[in-house]
Amino acid sequence: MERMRILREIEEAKRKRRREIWETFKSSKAAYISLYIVGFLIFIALFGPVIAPYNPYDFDLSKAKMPPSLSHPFGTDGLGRDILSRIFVGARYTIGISLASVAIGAFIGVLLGLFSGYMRGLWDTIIQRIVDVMLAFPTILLAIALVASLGRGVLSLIIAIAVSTFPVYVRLTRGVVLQIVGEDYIAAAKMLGRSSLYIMFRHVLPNSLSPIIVQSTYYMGSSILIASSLGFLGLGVPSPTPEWGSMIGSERIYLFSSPHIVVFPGLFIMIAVLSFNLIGDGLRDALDPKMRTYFRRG
Amino acid sequence: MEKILEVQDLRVYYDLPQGTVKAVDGVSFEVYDGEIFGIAGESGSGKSTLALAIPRLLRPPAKIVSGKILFMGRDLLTLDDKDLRKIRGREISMIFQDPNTYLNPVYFTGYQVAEVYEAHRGGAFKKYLGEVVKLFKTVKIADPERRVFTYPHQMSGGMKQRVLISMAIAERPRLIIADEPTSALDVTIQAEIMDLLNEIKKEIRTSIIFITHDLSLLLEIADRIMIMYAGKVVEIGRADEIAKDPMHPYTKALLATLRYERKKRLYTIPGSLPSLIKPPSGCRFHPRCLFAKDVCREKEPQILNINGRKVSCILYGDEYEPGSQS
Repeated sequence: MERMRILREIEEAKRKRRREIWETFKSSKAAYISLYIVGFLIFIALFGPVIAPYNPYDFDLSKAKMPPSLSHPFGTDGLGRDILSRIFVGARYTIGISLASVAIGAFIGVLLGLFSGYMRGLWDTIIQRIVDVMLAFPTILLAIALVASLGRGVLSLIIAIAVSTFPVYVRLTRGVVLQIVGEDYIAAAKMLGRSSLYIMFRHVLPNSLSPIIVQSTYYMGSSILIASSLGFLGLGVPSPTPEWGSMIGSERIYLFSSPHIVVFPGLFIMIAVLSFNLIGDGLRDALDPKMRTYFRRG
Repeated sequence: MEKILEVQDLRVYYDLPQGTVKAVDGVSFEVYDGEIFGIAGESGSGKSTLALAIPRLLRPPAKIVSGKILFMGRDLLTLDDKDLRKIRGREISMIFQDPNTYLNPVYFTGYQVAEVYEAHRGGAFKKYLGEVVKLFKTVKIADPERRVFTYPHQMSGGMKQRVLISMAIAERPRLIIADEPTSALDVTIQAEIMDLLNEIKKEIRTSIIFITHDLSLLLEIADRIMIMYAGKVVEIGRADEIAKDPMHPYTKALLATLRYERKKRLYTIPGSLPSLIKPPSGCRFHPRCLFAKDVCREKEPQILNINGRKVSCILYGDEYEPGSQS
């Protein structure tokens, strides 16, 4: 049938566009490799406890501070716990926390930004002044204050990071929305008799999505850094949970005597942050090469 | 004939840091059932502001300061958002100037047309795709089944304008406001679009407000014409009467610019459109007017009714004698 054929062709065209984005993304080697690294990190976050060779909580002081060897590839920490196993199990905390906080932060930020940029007027002013104040604080300081008041734990970490990062999404979304709202097709949609809410979500949001996706990817890296920093400062997930940042923090006295204890978790943090940033670069180029400037990287 | 739209003493100002721009300053006119009402004027004469003011689509800093816009007896300026939405797209629709920017780039054109039905009849827009194919046939889009599933960037300018026209006529509105619908298209496409508009007008029996800076186009298609200058009405009359016997000096000058004679330079009106922040005193056209008298600088002319025509010029008033008061 004619209609079926057309629909098939449309599917074909959509596949083609997706392939184009994918090809552009792939043409950046760094982004492509980073994708595999992130894939691997997510794999260990999901299956960490299964693939970990030892129980990450079992300590054995007779084996403390052993350098990397065949039986302990990354060595053991100050209490004789296997570092590789701890990193594997800790991945779910570090990556899970940043994923959840980015999701929450982006959700709140995008909603507020959309509302603010579309409605303008008094609400816009109020939201933007609040955002001004929040952006004036260093992110990490805000997060510390929030954790201090909420108490330690995975949930309060997620909330703290989400709250301290959402203002950036508000700003970003509002900027894009302001530009889209001025477009003629928004006036055309109004002229069809559509409501503001409908226009906001059906016409403005889909056209603002690319930069938001890119920013979220960058902020995955940022959130990992914030989560680890808080862990390092002893404000993260309480020990003995092997979150990467707290692994460094609690064992930092061995930095000079047995550097491997601190270096390996640090290496994983660095690789994770770097990978997310490189993926963000790749996505930015693939989704819209024009917008190169207005992001905050992790 | 029945009045569809009556605009009374409409004033639209732009509040800018440099001052207040009086883009539309005391404009009154009527549009009757089934007619093409043409509005002509130079760029910056307030035509487009007027077009956007009628369905209240103006965005800040534009502000409707005073006046009435009576559409079938109801004042659009006092309606709340909900009632206004019911009128927009269903009873008053609009065809815009540049078809390239008035379609959302992320959706199929057919989906956007179906949105008109969704907005006013409810249900999912996909339900109405069959109607859209019919509409596309009406506006003579070739291969309509396929075009429903086409993105705007895959269409030519003329075809996009046809899509916009199909959106405008979907609900068979009583009034279509066409704001320079052919200015962004090349001449051959212009002719096709004009033919199409004429056919549609007959088929769905609607009134059209046709706005353009091209007076020669209006003389061909419009029933009545309003000439605007610097935010004011200078003349309203039947198209044939204006063509034959223009009354206002500005209209005369405009018509003179259209006359083409071999080996002669085209006539141009000296000077340019005045600033609307500080418009000239008295008659706004007087600095460029060939017939200007001293009184034109001092006194703002009233709109005069002469044999069913309206003209705003001192030449036709009783107070023609300088110094006399009315």
